[in-house]
Amino acid sequence: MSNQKIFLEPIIKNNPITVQVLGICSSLAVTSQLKPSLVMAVSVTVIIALSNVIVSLIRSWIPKNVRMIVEMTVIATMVILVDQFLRAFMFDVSKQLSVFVGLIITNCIVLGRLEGFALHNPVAPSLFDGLGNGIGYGLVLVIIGFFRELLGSGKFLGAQVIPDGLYDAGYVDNGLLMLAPGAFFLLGLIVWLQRSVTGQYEED
Amino acid sequence: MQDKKFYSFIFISIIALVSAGLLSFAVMFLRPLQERNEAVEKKKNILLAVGLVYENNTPGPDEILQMFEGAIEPIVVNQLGEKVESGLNVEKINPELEENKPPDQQCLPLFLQKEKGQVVSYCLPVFGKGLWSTIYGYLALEKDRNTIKGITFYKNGETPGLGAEITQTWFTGNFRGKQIFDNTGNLVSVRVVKGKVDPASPGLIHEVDGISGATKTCEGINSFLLKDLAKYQVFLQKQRD
Repeated sequence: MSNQKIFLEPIIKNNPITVQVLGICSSLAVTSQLKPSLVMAVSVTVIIALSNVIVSLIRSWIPKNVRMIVEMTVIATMVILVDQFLRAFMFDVSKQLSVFVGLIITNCIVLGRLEGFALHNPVAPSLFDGLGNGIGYGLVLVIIGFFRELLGSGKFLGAQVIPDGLYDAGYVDNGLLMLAPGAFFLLGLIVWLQRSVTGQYEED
Repeated sequence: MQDKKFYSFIFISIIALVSAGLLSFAVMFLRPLQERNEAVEKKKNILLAVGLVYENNTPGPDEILQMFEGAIEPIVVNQLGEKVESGLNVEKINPELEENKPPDQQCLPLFLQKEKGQVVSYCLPVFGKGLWSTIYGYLALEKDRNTIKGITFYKNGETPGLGAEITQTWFTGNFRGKQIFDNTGNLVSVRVVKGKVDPASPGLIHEVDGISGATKTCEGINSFLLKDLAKYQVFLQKQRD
């Protein structure tokens, strides 16, 4: 499989959220506004890519019986590094994401890519696989974050976009979208839309 | 077989050492930046609470530090309402650790906003448990030591979009003008209610609009505001009499 295909596949066709149904928790939790969704998308992409590269580099030395522990150590190290960098250089965003940066450790996509790909593949394809999966994950987050912020609080990246006149005329922000179930509905719609376009069905 | 186990052990040890080394190095290198961010954040929030700067329009870190120097005088009081001349660096006092001391030994930081030598507002740190996390903030009172001038929450681990909305101006703005003492001079603090405040409520002056979906966070705020105001109660009432 070419690097290009490895990179593009997880973005739509084999999207980690909408097709593999991984990483649902954080896609519901951090998407109430667009900005944290974006930062989360970038953070997860960086972490998957770096962890993939590192595990791929040392893959021939990793003893099979302790491979999970090695993978988790690599992920945890990367996550803490990203968290520390955010706190030093993007303090406002790190405040907004709060606990969810740390929780990237538990994001199944990261461990899934290490187990499923980086452990058996050379460095370059692992890098592309990591980037592709991160972007596939991030894309869904950004779409959900965009609609939740727009419909839930009438804003785009923190700036009000729904005109005051509309509120005066009786328009009300949809409070459901600020809650996790609202994100779940949106996610369902995205999965529906994607599958009706690609024609993909789960096997019985 | 024994060899294999030994190899795994060595391998894991190396991974652990490298990770630990990398992280220690990163933390050591980034700590000064993070500490500066946190110090600026605290000062910014004191300035926000007393209304010298506004959210979404805050000046840069250097300017914040300069403004703070010029307008705010940090002092220390005790629970008897006396000023403590300890020579302590007020910014180094951790109100959370002070809480573990016996009440008569606690050092309570207080930030006075001065204009032409006159105190125009009093700002005190508030903190306590929300739903998931400890919430930290500053509460500023007008010079009558009763009316709330402003409140900010600068650190919390509440749910983004729900509990974490307490940091938003639409919520904190609701505290402005509310009073912490009732007509007879008893400390009643303020209370975040469920939903909107009923305009006919007799306690209107002590009640604040809540956040739907963040009831537990707001209940936490109610209890720690009362707890923290009680520590300063004697000091605050002294001036009023």
